[in-house]
Amino acid sequence: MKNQFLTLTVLTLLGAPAFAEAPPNPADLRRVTKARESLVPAVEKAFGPKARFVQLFGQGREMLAGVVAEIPAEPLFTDDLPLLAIVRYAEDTGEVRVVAPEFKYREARLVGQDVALLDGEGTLRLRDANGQERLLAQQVGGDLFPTAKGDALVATLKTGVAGPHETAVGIIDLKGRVKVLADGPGVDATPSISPDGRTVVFVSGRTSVASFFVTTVEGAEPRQLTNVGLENWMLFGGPPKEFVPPPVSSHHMEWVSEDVLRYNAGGGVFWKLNVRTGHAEADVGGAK
Amino acid sequence: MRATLQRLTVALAFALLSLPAASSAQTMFRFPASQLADQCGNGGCTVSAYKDYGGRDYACGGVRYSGHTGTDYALVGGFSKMDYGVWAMNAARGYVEASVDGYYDRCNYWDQANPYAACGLYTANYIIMRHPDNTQTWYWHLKAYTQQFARGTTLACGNWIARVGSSGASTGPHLHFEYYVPGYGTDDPYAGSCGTPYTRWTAQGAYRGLPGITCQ
Repeated sequence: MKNQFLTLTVLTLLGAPAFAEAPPNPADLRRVTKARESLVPAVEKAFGPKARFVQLFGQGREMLAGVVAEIPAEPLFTDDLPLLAIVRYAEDTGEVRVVAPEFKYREARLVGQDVALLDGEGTLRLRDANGQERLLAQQVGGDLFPTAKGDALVATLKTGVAGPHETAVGIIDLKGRVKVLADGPGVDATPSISPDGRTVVFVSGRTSVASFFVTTVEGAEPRQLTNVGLENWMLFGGPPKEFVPPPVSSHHMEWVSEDVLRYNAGGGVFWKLNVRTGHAEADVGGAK
Repeated sequence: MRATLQRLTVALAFALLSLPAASSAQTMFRFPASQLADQCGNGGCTVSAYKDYGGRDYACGGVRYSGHTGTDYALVGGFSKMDYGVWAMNAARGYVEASVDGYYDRCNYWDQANPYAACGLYTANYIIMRHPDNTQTWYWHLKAYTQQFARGTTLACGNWIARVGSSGASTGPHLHFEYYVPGYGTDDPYAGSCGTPYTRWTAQGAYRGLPGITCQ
């Protein structure tokens, strides 16, 4: 019986795609556990006993969290995403502060000491420490990612062309100037900008497999970094071992060096991508 | 009089020529997923949201949400049903015009223990079919690594094209099905008193029931 179980387990693992074997990095699990210890009581105190935090924006000492008023008892599965209130969470002290108490935001991100708030209509505003707001841009899709200097952010932009799949990536400075950096056929989304402010990495579906592309802050011709030569039908039944999973958002991306981007490939399984070479591997953490 | 008749004849001819070629051969749809007993049959799928008509659905009911442009068919049984596998099917003949695969397919906005499970808006696996009358059907939130056909492949109606999943902007496993008319925008295949007068289903079925599986 035991042998049969072991055989079945081994066969199941062998049949699974290579990256699915990667477990979440224990450090990321600890980060979420620690965040919950501070966020759960603070959110209940600020928003009432039914409120819950459901999203984190940012990956570092200072993060923002998205809060829903209530989780449905029997949620219907749709693409109706909840609108969020936003709180700020300091990882080192555990301090939680309400930034935007209205349940009307799709995303938020720290930009320097200010907070960029994206509402459900695609309007992006910047709120300073005194609560003063100003309009930055409209027709913003999401995937906000700030520059290291805090003087701009890259984001997914709606193009006005039909369908949620027709998006572009661009950079928005704090004066509200928008510059499109890439706009290929289909989805171009989830951008991130390197610490030196020169390189922009994003995901495109133009090849039929969601793949990383790299461009510059000037908008140079994008170059494909990952999954070169793959098409959707080649993934059927499980992707080949050279497949690099795309991120599920820009929310948890962080640059661990000038060249290496760390990102959430889904469910908290993080990967590291070298944006010069295209080499990528799961970041499962060390023994510690 | 004769000159007037000639002018009218010419005008009529031009008017007929300018009608969309498809008007006499409008594409009609079957239900865009399998209704076998272990799939959407036997109550395996349910309508979780219709297209939004400013606060109402096509039948003047409330099964919609603000700004929804298609119809959501949710898997009853959630992620376990998704793991079992439910096939999305192309609703009419046509060719695969666009597709994307590779994204994580267990997106979930209600998992408080794992805020990393919430996905961005533009990370869905999808397929877009183009039909002979130039209309499109869209199949969104597909399960990863289940797409059977390359771009450009011509298909008869009713193929298993990919499995239903929860990739992208999704609160759980469902198929977002959308009917798109170039030059017009998103249309609704359902006919009803608060929607359009003409159904695009071969058999529309009851409100909140599933359309029929007969191909055009």
